[in-house]
Amino acid sequence: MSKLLEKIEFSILALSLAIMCIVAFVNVISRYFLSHSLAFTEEITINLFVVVTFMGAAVGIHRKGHLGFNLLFENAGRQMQMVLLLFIGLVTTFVFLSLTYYGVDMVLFQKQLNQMTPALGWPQWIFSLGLPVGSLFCLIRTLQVTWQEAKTLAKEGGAVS
Amino acid sequence: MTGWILFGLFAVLLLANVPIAVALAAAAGITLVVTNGFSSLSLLTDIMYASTAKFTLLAIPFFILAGVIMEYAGISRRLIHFADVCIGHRKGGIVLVTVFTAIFFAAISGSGPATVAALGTILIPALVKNGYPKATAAGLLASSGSIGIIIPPSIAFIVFAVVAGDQIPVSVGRLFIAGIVPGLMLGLSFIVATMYVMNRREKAGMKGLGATESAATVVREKPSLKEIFKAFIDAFWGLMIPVIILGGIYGGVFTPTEAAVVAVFYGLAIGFLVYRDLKLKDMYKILVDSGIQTAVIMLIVSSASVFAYIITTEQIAKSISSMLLSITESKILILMMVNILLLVAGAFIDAISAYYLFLPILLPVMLHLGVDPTVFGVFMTVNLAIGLFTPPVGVNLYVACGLAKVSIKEISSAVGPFILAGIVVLILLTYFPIFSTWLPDLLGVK
Repeated sequence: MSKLLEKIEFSILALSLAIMCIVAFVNVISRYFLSHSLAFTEEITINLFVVVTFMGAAVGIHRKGHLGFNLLFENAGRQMQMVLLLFIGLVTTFVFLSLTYYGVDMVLFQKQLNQMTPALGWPQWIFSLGLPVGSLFCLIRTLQVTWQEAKTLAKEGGAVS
Repeated sequence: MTGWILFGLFAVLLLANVPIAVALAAAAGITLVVTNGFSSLSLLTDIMYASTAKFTLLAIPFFILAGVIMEYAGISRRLIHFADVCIGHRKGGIVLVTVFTAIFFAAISGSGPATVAALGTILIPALVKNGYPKATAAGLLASSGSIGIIIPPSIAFIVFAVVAGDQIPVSVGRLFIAGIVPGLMLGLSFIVATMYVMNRREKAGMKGLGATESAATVVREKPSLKEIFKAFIDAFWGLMIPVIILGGIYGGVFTPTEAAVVAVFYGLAIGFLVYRDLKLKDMYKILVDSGIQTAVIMLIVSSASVFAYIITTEQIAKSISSMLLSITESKILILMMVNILLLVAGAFIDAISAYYLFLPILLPVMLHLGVDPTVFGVFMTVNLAIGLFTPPVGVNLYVACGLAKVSIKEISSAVGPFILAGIVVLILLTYFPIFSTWLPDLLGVK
């Protein structure tokens, strides 16, 4: 399950970033060698940027790559660490649950209004999906990481006492 | 009142080890719920989406990608080799090699931790072999890497311009050029700090930990011109990158975002066609790695934007800035207070969050005092660069520790002289704007 999730995360991440680069490069070429700016390329790149941000954030949670202030945590007792761990999990869940919920709300609203992107005329909601879907992955990863760390901490505690 | 909830919650969450990006979003989200009810949480998604989907910020993933490609393509290794052949044989030459390559790599990557990671794998072992204690070597790398956000292209300057842009237009191009002299000054100060540390150790009769000789006695033979030429040719394609990026931006050929894209494809061309160190199967890993690095920065950008939105709309910024001005009208004192505030904050949070949290509050004060926004951008960024290697939360420290296999405690004491050296440069930059404005004015960059 975790392996499959990782495969999806990595593929979306790599593909989005690759498309962003190619599209942006084609625009540079077109602008300087054919002196013709492809304004619509910006729409593709900035919307994929959101996909990269939230999909990458999920991998970041899985790999514990997000920056934080861990001085107090490291020096806390085991029981306190457990409390903090669950607290962190709760707060992170709150954030990504809100983002997923209101993200879906945003997508449905745009679909209802039939909102199109200004230059390409593509449905905006397809692009916007990046935020709720990415947040959902973040949410799943948060629950998974919190559960695993709590289990490890509990086991370590058992071994000592 | 709202201000207390917002900042108070953020502080509590931060101290509890909630990741900074999450702490910012959570504090902002809870404040929204408390002041405007649950439905206002939809602002969270709206602002986070809008603040990420910004064209100027696109330079960030591209510069990160370019940096990762440089590493895989063997470009950083060749640069270090070239610098080492040129100056490595002198007494203390390896220190110069470290600082120079850090400055040079900074001119490609634009990020602090990336610079430490790319160079540290090679340079920390080299420094240790030359008799420098592990902790000092790691400290030198952590501090030199911070130059990455001051020498252009710089992710930090891009974010500064975006955030400050809500109040007053700031040119990324001018900020970039303004960062060159301060970046070199910082590099010089780190060289002086290392020399000072090594001199004191020598006087005390101490030798490098684990090394058989003290640093001063390791002297290689002078290289022949032929060797230097060979290393230069080998590193040539890498040496051209800053020329392309900076030349392109200032020649008016590229915008910073376009320059970053060009750097990506130039790096790929060298990696695949010239050096042939790059394999097609590396591409997947390169893209995923860069994607994660981008996301870590951008998640902070997007959640800090919500935080900044509340600071601005709830008039928190206004009340704090007028409070600051009511304490004293003296420019010298206020600049000092601002610097101390940022140094302390920089020790706990990263540079990107600091811009979103403090610019809405501090920029009006600076403008009121008649401080040039470019100069403010430079000294604020240098201040936050010092934060990159100030314990307890210096990202560079963690990267360098991992590479040198020393503990945070050991490196924390070794890094003291570098912090001091950085603060001296910071004071110069704060009170003598000429260091920042001289080069852009000379080149006529607006």
